[in-house]
Amino acid sequence: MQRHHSWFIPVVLCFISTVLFSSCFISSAKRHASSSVMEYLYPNDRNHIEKEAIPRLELPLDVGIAFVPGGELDSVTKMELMDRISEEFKSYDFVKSIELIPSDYLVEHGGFSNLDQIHTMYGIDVIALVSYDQVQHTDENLLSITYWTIVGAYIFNGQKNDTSTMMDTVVYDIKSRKMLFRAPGTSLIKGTATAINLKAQLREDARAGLDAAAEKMVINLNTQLNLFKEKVKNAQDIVIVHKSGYTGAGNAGGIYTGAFLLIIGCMAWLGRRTKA
Amino acid sequence: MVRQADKGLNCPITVSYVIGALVGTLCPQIPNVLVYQRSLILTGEVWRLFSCHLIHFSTLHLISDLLCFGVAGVLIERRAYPRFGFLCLSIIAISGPACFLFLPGMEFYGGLSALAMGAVTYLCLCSIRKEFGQCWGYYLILLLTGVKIILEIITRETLFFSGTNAPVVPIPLSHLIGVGVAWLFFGAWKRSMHRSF
Repeated sequence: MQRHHSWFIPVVLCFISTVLFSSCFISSAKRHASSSVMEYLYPNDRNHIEKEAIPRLELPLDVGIAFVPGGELDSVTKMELMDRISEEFKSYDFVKSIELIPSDYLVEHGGFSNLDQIHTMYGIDVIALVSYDQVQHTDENLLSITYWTIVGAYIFNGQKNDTSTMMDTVVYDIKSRKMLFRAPGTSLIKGTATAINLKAQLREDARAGLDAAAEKMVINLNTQLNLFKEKVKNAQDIVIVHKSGYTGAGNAGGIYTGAFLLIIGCMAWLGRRTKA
Repeated sequence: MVRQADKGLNCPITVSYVIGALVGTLCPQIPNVLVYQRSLILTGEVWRLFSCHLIHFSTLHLISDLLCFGVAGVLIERRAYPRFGFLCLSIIAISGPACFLFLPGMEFYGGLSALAMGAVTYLCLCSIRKEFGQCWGYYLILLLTGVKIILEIITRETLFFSGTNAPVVPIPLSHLIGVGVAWLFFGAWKRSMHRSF
């Protein structure tokens, strides 16, 4: 009886300690980082509805690009992303200049009054507000059992991570406070990590998620800019005014010329037929 | 055969404007010297007010203007409607300065369409007066011309993006001048015909 007792206590202690140790690793976690356009523009009343207004755009446009305050992105990453977005805008002739506006100039929950200040400071007509939303979930898989051995926490990828990211560029006409168009981009990165390497892997996944979402957003932005170009050409839902220094042309136009030639041709053909 | 060839060459005014527009637009460096550029006109380069009609901003722009003016001009000259040369000179003399006066925000301008509109209108009016062929067609063209100008005034639709840094805007004023001058010339011709009777 005495011998059995001495064997039982160390085993129980060992079991309790391993369970406690492994419980340090075995957990489900969620990390959320975001910056929201709605929170920035309508901080006090998210149900606020702007009055219907038709944007009056003066071509060519002076465009500003800014990151909505909030989130955990560093300035370098923000500037890189804004550079990519500005490259898309540059290729359109209706854009005259592009200003990358540092985050410091955007006040958290600043709303349209903050945009008005930026409009005065930079002389921009239209602003592209970039925001993002990233959620990371971490769970354990079967390999996490190896954490009981301590060494396993260094070797086996017992953590599985999901990183879902959405990036969004919303383009606003500052004066009319009307949204002109938006271009979202999403990504889902799935990965695994060892318990020890988890934080580094999450950072890597977050960056990869942002890159993938930004890539999709840029593709969408290109499509939206093309659609917007057509809107500008046809002055559809917007009033177009041309800034001083515009180029004018006397153009007979393809449709008019075609119709003129068709009528003249028909008349000549009918004339010949009548003569015959 | 010889008579046909002679007839083919018998439209010197149209041919000279067409060649002028082709050379003016397609030869490098010439557009820089001839195009309407407000800032340079203000420094004394006044010829730009009149030479700008020979400059075009894209191939489509050039083709549509040349086809319209070319066909109308050839028909006018072949039918020997009077004072076509003066009509063209008058449109050139009025159109550029009017744009300079009434459109201070416009920096660049180019295009033969004021002359094209004038030539088309003059062709239609003279042909209706002389009852040359099917008159309904000429009435239809006159109607189209009016509708086009009204639409240009109302919509201000951007024509195209020129590849410079700005979109190209239609200038209905120059078309109005072309059509107006054509009506004036036609009126004068009608009057002179009445007097001769």
